[in-house]
Amino acid sequence: MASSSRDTTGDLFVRKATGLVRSWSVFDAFVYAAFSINLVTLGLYIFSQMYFLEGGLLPTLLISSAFILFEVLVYAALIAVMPRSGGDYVWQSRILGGGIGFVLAITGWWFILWLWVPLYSDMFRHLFLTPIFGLLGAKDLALWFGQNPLGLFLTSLVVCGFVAFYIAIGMKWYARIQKYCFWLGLAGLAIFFGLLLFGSPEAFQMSLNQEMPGLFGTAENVYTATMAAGQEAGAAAPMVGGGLGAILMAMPFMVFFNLWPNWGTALYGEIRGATDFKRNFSGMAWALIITTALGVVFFFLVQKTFTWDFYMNANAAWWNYAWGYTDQVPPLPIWPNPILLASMMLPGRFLKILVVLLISFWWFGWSGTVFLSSTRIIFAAAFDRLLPEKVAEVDEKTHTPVVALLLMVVPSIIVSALFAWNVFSFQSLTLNSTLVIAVTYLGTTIAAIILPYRKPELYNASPIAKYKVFGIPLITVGGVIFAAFLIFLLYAWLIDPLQLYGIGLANTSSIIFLLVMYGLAAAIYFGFKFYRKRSGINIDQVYQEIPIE
Amino acid sequence: MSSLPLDSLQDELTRIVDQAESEGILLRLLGGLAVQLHSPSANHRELQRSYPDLDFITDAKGGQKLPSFLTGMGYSPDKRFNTLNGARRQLYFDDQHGRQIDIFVGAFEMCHKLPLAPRLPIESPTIPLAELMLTKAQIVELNRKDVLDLLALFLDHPVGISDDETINQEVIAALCAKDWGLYTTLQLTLEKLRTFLTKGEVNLSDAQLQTLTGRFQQLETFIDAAPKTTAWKLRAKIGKRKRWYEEVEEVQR
Repeated sequence: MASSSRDTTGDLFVRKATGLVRSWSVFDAFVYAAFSINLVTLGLYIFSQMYFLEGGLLPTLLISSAFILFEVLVYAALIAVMPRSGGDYVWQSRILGGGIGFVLAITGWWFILWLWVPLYSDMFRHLFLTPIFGLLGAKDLALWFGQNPLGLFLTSLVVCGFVAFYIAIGMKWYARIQKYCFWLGLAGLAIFFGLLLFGSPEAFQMSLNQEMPGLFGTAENVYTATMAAGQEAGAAAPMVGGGLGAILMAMPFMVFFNLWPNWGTALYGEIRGATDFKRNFSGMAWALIITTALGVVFFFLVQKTFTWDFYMNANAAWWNYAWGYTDQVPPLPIWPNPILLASMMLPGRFLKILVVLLISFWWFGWSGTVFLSSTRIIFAAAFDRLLPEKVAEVDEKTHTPVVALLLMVVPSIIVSALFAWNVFSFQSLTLNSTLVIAVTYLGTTIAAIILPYRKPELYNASPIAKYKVFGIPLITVGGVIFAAFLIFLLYAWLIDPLQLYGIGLANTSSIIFLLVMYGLAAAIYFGFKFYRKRSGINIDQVYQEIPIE
Repeated sequence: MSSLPLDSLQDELTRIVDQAESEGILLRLLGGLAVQLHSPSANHRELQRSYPDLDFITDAKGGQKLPSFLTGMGYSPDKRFNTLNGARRQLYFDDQHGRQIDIFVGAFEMCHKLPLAPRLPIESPTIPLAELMLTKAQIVELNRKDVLDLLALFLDHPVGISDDETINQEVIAALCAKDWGLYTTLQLTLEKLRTFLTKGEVNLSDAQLQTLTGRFQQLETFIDAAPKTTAWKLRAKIGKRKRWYEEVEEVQR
């Protein structure tokens, strides 16, 4: 309750028993982190797009995860120093300065999420809608959702509805739902892995050829036809090997999947025990380690039953068509969803539907991540008066941040339309979704590197001050390693010497998109700073204080 | 009705509860001041303490009306806190007197969750005595003020089977029978109260000490005798190896 003094009587009283039970436990944070680097959604989606690379996917996954452990270290340390809702925005604005903090956080946690909505939607239709409609016998509807731009756009509207629901129900209910989704999704994943473990290439090939014509109207012997189409499309990616250079060049793709164990850090003002560095680190690190291990298991099981060649050929055949390199619909006219493919080995439709349904909980539990963390960044900026106060207001009845939600949903719908119909080549901007956030992370990482020197009182009073490597603060050492990794990624994306990623300087749409986003953020910052100054509020002074909670 | 908070905390409390009632908001007091209203012994020189703030609870419907109601009563909201936590907890400030109002919405959530909303209409201006006692007894890391409040409550009220100036043992036993964690913390709290008395931390008469220990014992016996749920029994098998309460954190305000 509201008492405030600390008092002790002998050893009977150890602390004042007042305060707040925060909404989320450490386990809730772990589940959120595990969903944020989601093998089933992000993982399967980006693995399939990497078909033309020459670096082995398995070593690429392992090496990138090793670097991302340093990201976890940096963020866990920053949380322990300043466990505040608003994460990157609060840390950057208080350590680097308001302008940098605002522009990098607003672009990385708000604007770029508009682009993530059609990506979440694309995964939803391929993972759930197309397979389910196909299995229910609605072949034409399944293919329409999987191939038609309007299908993608409608899916985006459904996704926006879901996300709005998640944000409206509040943190406590969100945690409950994501926990159910986590366990159900794990059950689905276990069945999926079991099918691959106990299946054989012969059984898979036979069941695929047997089931697909009935479900999706494919021609006879879809297996052989897919292998040939994939070869023609340029399938190249091996599971292992490929040389260090090729592996490094595959990493800018892989991080689309695994750069996000820190996705919940904007919420740590609402997570219990957030000043405990080790607890923060282990929650995010275990999510990363377990997901990486699951990815490795997936690769081996795919090789065992689908065969790696078939998997990559199917991916190549699909994306070659989806990206418009050919008008020829591939022999398998849907995204080669590994879960659906594996379920072909099950007898009857009911079991197939059950597996697809269970695995879809990976998407349902994850979908809220597209905007939940963003709301906290928007709130934090509004509390600092860099956005209108209205933005942080919640509806009295539903406790929903209606204005903040609208600011995320409405532009997302516009961007989804651009993406669905590929206006201004928007579909080529997929990796921008990762690039812009990586820039934000780089800002936070630089803030972490200089924290002990820029804010020594804050750092020395924190629980991380005792961690040093050869006398250098651990947060600085970890920050330097992760910053080097991020700089390499940014170089690869932007300069793109081998023209692998399609979002570099050679892509005018991409550069204009980036300039518009950063320009808009800078305009809001300077506009509001000027406006507040005229009202007698010095924004620079606001940044001298760490927000209280 | 004045739109500015009054100097006297007790007058202010009455003003808020009465006005809330007239606007259809079920608002009930808890915390130290609620104990003082119920217990003359809270004014005993050995059990006296300060009451810096007001703690309330309301139901979910009341929670929706609070922002406009309390703003109209002269309080300013803690916008940052209420935005993030307002569905279950809200904070308001009386800037003139340097006081704070802390309001639980729907349920009381600290070391244990107490579903207080269903029994709010039973009494006014405070929550019923059984729940009032539990809001203090559920604290795992008690402070001196909590102990003094608990002693005052037990000294002035018998443990029995009604809510009329009585600590309703049936209500407490029913909650403890469903929740092994709450049961365990209550047992620990009663033990701490006995230790506090044994150490002579407060100077009470022998008759008062006897009354207190008798009431502790009566409550314990009744709770122990109540039939427990299967969930309670399963949780009891794990015991204290697993933390049985929620961590309560200090919030910088």
